[in-house]
Amino acid sequence: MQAGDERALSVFYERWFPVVHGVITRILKSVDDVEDVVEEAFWQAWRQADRFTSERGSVQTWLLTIARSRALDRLRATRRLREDSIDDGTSDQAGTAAEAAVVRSASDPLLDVEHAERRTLVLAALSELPREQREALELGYFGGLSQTEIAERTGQPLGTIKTRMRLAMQKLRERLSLLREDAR
Amino acid sequence: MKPELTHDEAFAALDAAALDALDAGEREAVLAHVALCNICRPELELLRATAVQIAFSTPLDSAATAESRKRIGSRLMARAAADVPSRGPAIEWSKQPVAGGLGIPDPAGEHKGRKTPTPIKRVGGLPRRRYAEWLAIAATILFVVSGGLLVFAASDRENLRTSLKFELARSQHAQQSRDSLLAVVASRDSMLAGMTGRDVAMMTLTSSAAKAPFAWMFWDKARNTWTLIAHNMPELKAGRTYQLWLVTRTAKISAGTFDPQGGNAVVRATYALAPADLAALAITEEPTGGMPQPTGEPVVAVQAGK
Repeated sequence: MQAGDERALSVFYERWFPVVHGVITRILKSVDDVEDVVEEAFWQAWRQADRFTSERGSVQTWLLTIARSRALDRLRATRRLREDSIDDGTSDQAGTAAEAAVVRSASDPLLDVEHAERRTLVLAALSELPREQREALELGYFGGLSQTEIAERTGQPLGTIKTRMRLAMQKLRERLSLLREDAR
Repeated sequence: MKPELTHDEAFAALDAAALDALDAGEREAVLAHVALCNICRPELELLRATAVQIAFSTPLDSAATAESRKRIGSRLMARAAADVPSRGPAIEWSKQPVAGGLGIPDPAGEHKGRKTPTPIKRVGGLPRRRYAEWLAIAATILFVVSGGLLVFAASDRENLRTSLKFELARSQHAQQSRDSLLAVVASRDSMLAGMTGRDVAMMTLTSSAAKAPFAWMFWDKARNTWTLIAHNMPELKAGRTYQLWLVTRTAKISAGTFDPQGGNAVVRATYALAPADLAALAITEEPTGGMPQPTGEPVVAVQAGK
């Protein structure tokens, strides 16, 4: 892809579409917005492929950071226009939906096996977190909220949110170390 | 901008930084620290790699997304096909809007909708190859200039090193000269003190020969130094030397050997001797290196107290 090969883009797109689409769908509500942002994320990856260096991180980290950034841009732009808010039920719904997705993915032959396995591990790690820690994590990651905004939204002291987020990240880091190595 | 953070403060905020959950000011301060900290930088990369894993928790409804996947893929490939001939101009990162503070520039700027994709901004409108050529030329010039500067700096450093060595050698030489002069002065001072002190006794050693040699002995009893000044000493044959003796009632004590220059000589010795013990002074001619006891007749001599 760094050489400008369209076929490489096609392979890249097929490989990463499920997770890119998944994370953007989680952040945005509108189907149109999701499609726009998914396209823009891959487009940006295509245009900036020559800037990617493996020393600075994995392809997965690079691409998903792009996807999340574009989605949060869209989310914030929408918020500014509509004074909208993200789904307050993120945590509970996420847990339920995620658990359901695991079941579906296991029986879906079209689903990328690697992504499915990875998702299973991530969901297991997330499910081990206390609800409030997972909530802080997801409001930050999917909601694009700062710790201050999370504190305001949840009515918790800022220090509490910082602690929850830190503990959650530490646990995830420990549990997902194998996935990070795989992604390299 | 927040004031500079300590390492501990920045380190504690890395989890939130990886999630991009810091307020703008704090984020700026943390990233400023991270840029210079070899501990925080890899830690943040690792935490970002961890945070990215959260994306995999999202549900993947393949049935619902199949059509969407196809539509997006078609548009993307069409854009890429149209882009290929001119793909590659570097995106001007510094002028890109930064998305959500994540440090990922948005090459398309504000979203324009999928029907009218935003053209990618190119640097100066230059084709990629030409831009690359200019970059290569600039890099070459920079390399040559850098090389020249490096050679100049190396040469300059070598010159400085040589100058430093020279100055050090000169300084050492000056120091040695100074030490030598001080030693000479100290020796002269000592000799003068040995000849002019309050407790100095002077004795004249004489001979009965035609061209009579003679000598003065200055004995500084306080410092136990002996200074002999001899004149008209007969020229020595090869393998011979003069030897000075302090004669007591029980022994003849060697005070050193000397070879006069032009018949003249100055001999200095240090030997503690009770004033009452000295019976006489004598100089004899002896084999080179001296003898434990005098073997020849005294060339000059004097009895103590005379």
